[in-house]
Amino acid sequence: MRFHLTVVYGIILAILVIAFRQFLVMLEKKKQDFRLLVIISVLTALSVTGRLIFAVLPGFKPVTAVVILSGIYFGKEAGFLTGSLTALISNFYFGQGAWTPFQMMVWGIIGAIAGIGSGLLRKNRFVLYLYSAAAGAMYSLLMDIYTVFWIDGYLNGSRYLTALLTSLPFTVIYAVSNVIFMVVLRKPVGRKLMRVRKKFGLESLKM
Amino acid sequence: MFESYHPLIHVIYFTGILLLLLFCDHPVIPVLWILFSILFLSCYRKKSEIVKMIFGIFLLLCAMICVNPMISHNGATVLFFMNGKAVTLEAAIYGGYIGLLLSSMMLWGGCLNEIMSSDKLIYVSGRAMPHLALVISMSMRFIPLFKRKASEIYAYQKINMRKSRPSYTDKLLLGMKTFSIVMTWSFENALDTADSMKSRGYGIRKRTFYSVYRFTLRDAVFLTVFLAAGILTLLLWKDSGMNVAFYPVFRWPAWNIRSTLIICLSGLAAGIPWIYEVKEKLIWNYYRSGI
Amino acid sequence: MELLQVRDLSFQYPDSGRLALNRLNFSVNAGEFVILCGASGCGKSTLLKLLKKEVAPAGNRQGEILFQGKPAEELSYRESAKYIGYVAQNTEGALVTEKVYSELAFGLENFQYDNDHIRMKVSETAISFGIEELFHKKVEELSGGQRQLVNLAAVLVTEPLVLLLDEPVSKLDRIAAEEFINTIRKLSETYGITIVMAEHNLEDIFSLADRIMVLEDGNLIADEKPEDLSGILKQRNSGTAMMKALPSAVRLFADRSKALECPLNVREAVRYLSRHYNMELLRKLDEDLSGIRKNLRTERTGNKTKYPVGLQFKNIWFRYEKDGKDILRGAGLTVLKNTLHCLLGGNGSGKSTLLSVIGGLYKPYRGHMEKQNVAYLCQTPQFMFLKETVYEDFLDTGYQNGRTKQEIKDLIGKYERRLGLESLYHMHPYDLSGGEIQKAALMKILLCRAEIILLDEPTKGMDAGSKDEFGQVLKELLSQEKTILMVTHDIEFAAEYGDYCSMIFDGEIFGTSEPTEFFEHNTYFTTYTGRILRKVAGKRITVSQADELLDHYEKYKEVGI
Repeated sequence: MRFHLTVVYGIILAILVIAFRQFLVMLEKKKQDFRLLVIISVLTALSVTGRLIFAVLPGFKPVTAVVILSGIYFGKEAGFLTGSLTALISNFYFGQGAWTPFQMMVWGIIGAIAGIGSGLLRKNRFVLYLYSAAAGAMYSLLMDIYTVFWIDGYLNGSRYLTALLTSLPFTVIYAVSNVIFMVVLRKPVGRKLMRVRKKFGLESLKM
Repeated sequence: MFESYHPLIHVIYFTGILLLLLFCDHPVIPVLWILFSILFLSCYRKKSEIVKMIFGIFLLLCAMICVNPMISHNGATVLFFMNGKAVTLEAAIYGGYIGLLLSSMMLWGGCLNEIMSSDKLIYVSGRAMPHLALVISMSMRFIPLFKRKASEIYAYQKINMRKSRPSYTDKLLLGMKTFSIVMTWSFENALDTADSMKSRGYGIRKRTFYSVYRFTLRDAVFLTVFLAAGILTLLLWKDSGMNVAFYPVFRWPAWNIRSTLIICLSGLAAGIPWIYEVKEKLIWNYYRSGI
Repeated sequence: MELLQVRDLSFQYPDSGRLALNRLNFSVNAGEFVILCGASGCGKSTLLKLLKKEVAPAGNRQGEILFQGKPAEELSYRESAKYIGYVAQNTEGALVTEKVYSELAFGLENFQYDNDHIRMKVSETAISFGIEELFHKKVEELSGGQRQLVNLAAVLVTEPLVLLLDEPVSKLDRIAAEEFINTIRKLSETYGITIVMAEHNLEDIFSLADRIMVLEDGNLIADEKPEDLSGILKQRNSGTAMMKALPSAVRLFADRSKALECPLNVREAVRYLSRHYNMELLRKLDEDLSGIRKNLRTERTGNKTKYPVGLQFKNIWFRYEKDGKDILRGAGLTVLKNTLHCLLGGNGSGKSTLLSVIGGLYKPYRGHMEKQNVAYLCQTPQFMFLKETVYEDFLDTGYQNGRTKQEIKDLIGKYERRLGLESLYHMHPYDLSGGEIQKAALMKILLCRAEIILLDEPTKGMDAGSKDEFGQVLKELLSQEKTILMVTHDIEFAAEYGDYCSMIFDGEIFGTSEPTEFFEHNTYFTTYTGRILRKVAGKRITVSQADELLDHYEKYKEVGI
């Protein structure tokens, strides 16, 4: 019986629902809610489009970069929402499955952390690159937990290690491609997002 | 057709199946689900795709049977030794079972993709969180738009490029450039979206949510049968001792009236859409013969 | 009481030195159809946006806007959103949701109507505007014209008392624009909806309007019935640019009609012509004049045919997918150097695909096409800009084409006045207006080292004045040994500036000839002037050509008497 897995799913779904609720309510209270909603939709659509544009190159996707940048420039709520919605919506193109909640969770967290550490990530670009690489690795690490949970019903240490080893090449590609995208996109996209903040009247938004 | 049911039914059905697969550790249940879902998918997809899928499942099973004993060395029945480690029958059987489970999950995803359109997701989330539904709907509207813009931009960049044979790096940079331009354009465009929302009264007060779906009698019937079968299965399962044990020795669970009932009920729950699909087809053929 | 009243309205953008709108006074009565026209940048859009407070731009506003006698600021958001409908120009941005039905429901959801009410309203609207077929479609699957219809319907579901339309047809092709205008006519005539519509191309809507307001640099220079407008504009010298925007019928007959009623559209013009002119005489005079011109033209054509070939391809076959349909079916064309070649055709005729094939984006599966060294101006000029300022972008393009900084500066300096670029260098490309960015894009094309220039519907959404300037720049380009191929819906522009025209239809290209001959035998696919004169002088397709004949006629009559 995969009781543990049920619990894990329960927790993930609960967190997702609570996070969505909280963040959306927060946005509503902030009054600029609907502009931010539009921005989140655009960012989500952009990262999904990016996933589609670069679909020919496996593992080479601007998704994480976009999620991190949206967290940095529009706050942790926006980061979380962009990340998790990207996972949810891009799976309409790449296939929904039992992994969807996991992915939503992982990308959501990546975006939220970027939002929390936004000051540091904006000031120091090496920390940003480091975080991008870490986010790529984190994606792999957490998605492997999903695989192992499904196979054994609990977190089997030795199997987790094997899973990590088999997915190592992908982990490396994720990390490296994230850094490459960050190096290329950081400046122009950063400037663009600053401009967006101004144009949408969101200058007061903390970042 | 199953897809024309109310979206809530789909959500309940797929969640229920997931729970069944999670709770009932018995090889028959994934096998039943695999069978039904293949039948179900064959109503939607081309024959060649189904054949490919079945072949894929077979490969996955073989792979898991071979690979699991290499990693896991539990089990009492040693087949042979490799590099000084025991390769056991139990581990191979467990591998096969995992293979079944993974295939059933894949098929679960496949059926879900066939049935759950974004529209339904928007509906389901819209009932609980209208804002979320709007964000999803807007993103779904933007994605094909951005894709179209991206291909226009790519075309423009490529035509104006001075090189006739661009290298791999050129192409990658072209992709990034395209993405960057799409990004600028999309935000400018979104300013108009925000204006359009506001000018049509967005944010005046809490929104209602309009949907084209209606909960009808057949939805109710379906739901009742499915929930009854599903809940009965889970209740009967509790403390039935039907859990399969793989280690140290593989033991086939007891086969009695209770277990037969469980399997029949879970089969009913999983098979409802397919049963319905076939029923509709028969009725349609009957009516068509009258045309 | 007036539905909408504007008193002494002035407006200034935050970082601008001049007034965008200068003390405007006007009112709109219930049921009226008012057209707001003027060159781009005259303040039309600003005025419309100010009338709808949700989209009003930030800036310094003075004066009053009264809605049903009540100051607009005092309207609640609910009242304002419900009573004033605003249809934006950019349909891609204005549509919010994924599906047509959810788009139609969007406004009603915001007003907290329940499901049954929304269902009723949405279906009522869908039936009345003929978009039932589109109801379950995705917004992205719609054509431009359909999108604009859905956009309009989505505003109309909440039953606004006044409808503000901001250049609704400027991004549409000819046929879609005509259809949309028919819907507007229906709204006004059948449903009595009050409409204020900003538009600079007056050909099709002129006679439908109750009143026409003309804005020039933020001043309201005329607020007249259509039939009186040209007289008023004539009195002001500044109105000459505006005159070009008037319908061909008005431009031809406004001065000649004197005491009589001036024809406002093609139908009235044809009637006017047959009633007040001696058709036989006109025909004879046309032949006389043409005889003289023919000699002149053979001289010119003789020159033209001596031009070397700039671009040539034969028997090109192309399709996007293996099992798809042929988009180009044996297309072939010869474009001479120093000429502007216009390729006319409807939607889906393969126009844009052809340009992509010439540009080397796609390979034809049959027929040979070298990748040409071309400069390509795409339909959305914004796509051509990547940098933060216009100037950076110019430099970038120049460098990519192997020019030095000095060279680039010289080149820009040569054209900056004509293109009006001086004040734009340090702006973000996306902050430019539609006309400005088009000109900046043209500058980028000028910076390319390419002999062949491909233009994809460059005049879409341009006002009459900008089209003239654009045509002049193209002429200048031609004098520098360039070859220009332009696909367009804009018959008027092709007739005026094209050296050759060809038809592209169903993947084939044919009928290559000079504009006058090209349009001579067309009854429907021809200019407005051509339609007015087709029974008399088919070769006369531009207003100036027609003017020549009518002047000659009048002189002849005088002398004759």
